[in-house]
Amino acid sequence: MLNMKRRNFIKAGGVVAAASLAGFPFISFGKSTGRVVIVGGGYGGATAAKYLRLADSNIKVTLIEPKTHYISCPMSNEVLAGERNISSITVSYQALNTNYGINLVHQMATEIDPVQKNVRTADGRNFPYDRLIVSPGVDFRWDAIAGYDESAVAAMPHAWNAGNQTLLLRKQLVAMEDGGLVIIIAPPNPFKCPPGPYERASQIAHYLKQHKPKSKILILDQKDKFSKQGLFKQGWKQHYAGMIEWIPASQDGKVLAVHPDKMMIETDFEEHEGDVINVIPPQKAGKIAQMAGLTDKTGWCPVDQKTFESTIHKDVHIIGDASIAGKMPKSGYAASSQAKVCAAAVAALINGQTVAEPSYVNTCYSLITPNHGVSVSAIYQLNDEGNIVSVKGAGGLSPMDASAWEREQEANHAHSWIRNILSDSFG
Amino acid sequence: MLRTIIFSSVLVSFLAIISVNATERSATTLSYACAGCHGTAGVSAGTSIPSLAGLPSEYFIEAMQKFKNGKRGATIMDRIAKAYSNEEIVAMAGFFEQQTWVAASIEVDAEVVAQGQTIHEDKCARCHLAAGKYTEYRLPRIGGQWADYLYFYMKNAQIEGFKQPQPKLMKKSLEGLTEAELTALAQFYAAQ
Ligand SMILES: Cc1cc2nc3c(=O)[nH]c(=O)nc-3n(C[C@H](O)[C@H](O)[C@H](O)COP(=O)(O)OP(=O)(O)OC[C@H]3O[C@@H](n4cnc5c(N)ncnc54)[C@H](O)[C@@H]3O)c2cc1C
Ligand code: HEC
Ligand code: HEC
Repeated sequence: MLNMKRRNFIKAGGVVAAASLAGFPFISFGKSTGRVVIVGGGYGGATAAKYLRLADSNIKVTLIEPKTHYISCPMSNEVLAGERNISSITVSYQALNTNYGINLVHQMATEIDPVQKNVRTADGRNFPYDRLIVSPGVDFRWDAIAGYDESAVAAMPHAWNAGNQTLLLRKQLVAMEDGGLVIIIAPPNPFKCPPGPYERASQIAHYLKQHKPKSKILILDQKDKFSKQGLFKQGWKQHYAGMIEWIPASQDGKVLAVHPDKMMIETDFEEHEGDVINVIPPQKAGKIAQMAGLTDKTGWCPVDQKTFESTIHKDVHIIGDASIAGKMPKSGYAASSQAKVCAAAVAALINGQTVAEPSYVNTCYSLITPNHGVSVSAIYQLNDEGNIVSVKGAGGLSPMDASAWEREQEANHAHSWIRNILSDSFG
Repeated sequence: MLRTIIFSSVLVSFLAIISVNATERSATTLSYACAGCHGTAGVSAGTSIPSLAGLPSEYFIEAMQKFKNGKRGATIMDRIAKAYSNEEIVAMAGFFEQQTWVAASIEVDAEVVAQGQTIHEDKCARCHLAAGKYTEYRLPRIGGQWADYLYFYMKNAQIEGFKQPQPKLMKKSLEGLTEAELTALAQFYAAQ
């Protein structure tokens, strides 16, 4: 019973700290002076930093991230369509320092020493930690597609990290003549944002339909089915009939090589020439996770799915796209949800408390037109084997028979979601 | 400071009751996961997704139960609510009730707001007291809620067969209101 009281006390601490957002001072319940270092300030890392400080403001949190501003991949497909300015999905890290006292280090982490428990940055500084959280996102497998190396991205952008690549692809679409062919190479599983390539095709089609209606989009897929397939195909038929062609892997969608100099793609039986070619390469965990030996033979990081602690190196936690998180997809919402579970676990472990039972949520909205939104949602829990599984009988897709008005509401909710997830993670 | 202490002591006793009911996942753990859509601590930054901070727990529980049991029409909450046990819903209700309400910040057209106020006083003020800011038991606060959310709710409430909870008198009050009038009402409430 005593034990129970103590646990409740800690739970209440979380609530009070959350209220500090509305102007209350930080109240700290823990007595720890633990040091937590976080590598990577994306949806995973930034959220973990904030929620760690909310859980226990005595913990010193240092966030190592080279950029001073984060550019969100979510909604970057709208930038391609000309529906949105990239500045609307660019956020400063400053609020994490001002509102939560997080120490910001705008450097690249170059070395993790899990034995000495130290992180080194490019400028030669050392950051010792009690616990480390790594959220470096994905790295591309540059050796996977013949002809697609780092020099090919100028001719055939991936635009799978938002920023200059997004703007380059947008520029190419604007420069293309009416009647041109846009080719998208969709990657094999697992990859960041499973519905992303198909939302991208939709957004590009939305732009072309208005400005270059004779143009076409060809998706060469490295797999045979994709996320929200029924909903996308329904939307394409409704809004972009005859404009988008999807070729699955088993029907010659598999790409053997790309030729950036000739703007050409080779498959088993065809050579496709495109006016704009977007190659989304196969992926693996971010480079620093590989260098630190946190990945297994799949190229991703195995973790204890309750605490996100590495099963390879003690006291190192991996969250977001880089981790193997059971049934959860690689998405921004998933990364932020994992970050909160991980932050609570790290705070508990530092204070010598039991780790609470986790709960995780993911939802991905996709925009087929600015007024046609669809979603997939799931709530997750830990099963007896310690794997993250979705709660049965809940979640799922937007209904196929939803009205245009419901699709319009979902499009609005998608736009509300981006504002909330950005402020929840970075504000 | 005083308020914070009261908050935490109320919550400790509240959670003690929950624990007896064997809720393993804590109120904060459950509720934090909603923030990606509803904002940190239930204060929404998005115009069509409602703020949950400060909602009376009775109303919150009722809303979640209706989503869960298919008695309230929704674009997504029906799918989400099904994942939670009754005890977990009660726990989250406690969490959100303790959070501080922050009114939506939107730019409004004074003329449209005035138009909304006239309709409000005529048709809605008898229940939605204090310009919609009043909240108790099963009456949600609508003054200061986001305009798009309120507009969607009212529009859905006008659709025959869409299960939008509303007292008979509210249904009658909404009958025949045009989209422009609903917009005016939404703006009036959001501006509070
Ligand atoms: C086009 C597109 C659309 C998408 N749409 C959605 C959507 O609608 N909804 C959704 O939920 N998700 C969406 N996603 C997915 C989402 O972007 C990712 O899942 C999410 O960003 C993962 O977060 P993360 O923290 O794991 O990694 P990231 O957000 O990629 O962040 C990683 C960070 O780590 C930093 N970093 C890397 N290495 C180091 C190092 N050595 N030292 C220091 N810092 C380092 C990087 O600079 C980066 O800021 C989309 C993705 C794409 C490409
Ligand atoms: C993917 C976005 C999303 C997530 C995640 C989400 N909500 Fe919602 N919520 C909505 C939307 C959108 C509505 C409006 C109803 C609808 O269309 O589904 C809503 C409405 C509500 C309402 C009704 C409020 C009112 O004033 O009547 C409650 C209560 C609620 N949500 C609670 C929750 C809780 C609790 C969670 C976490 C367990 C949660 N929501 C997670 C999007 C979300
Ligand atoms: C008879 C009292 C009554 C009247 C009259 C009334 N309402 Fe309501 N309203 C309620 C109650 C009670 C609810 C909560 C419904 C439920 O969940 O069961 C509600 C809910 C709402 C909501 C949803 C709020 C939320 O957070 O989801 C909106 C919007 C609203 N009312 C607007 C109006 C408008 C506009 C009018 C006038 C045209 C009006 N109401 C008239 C009692 C009333």
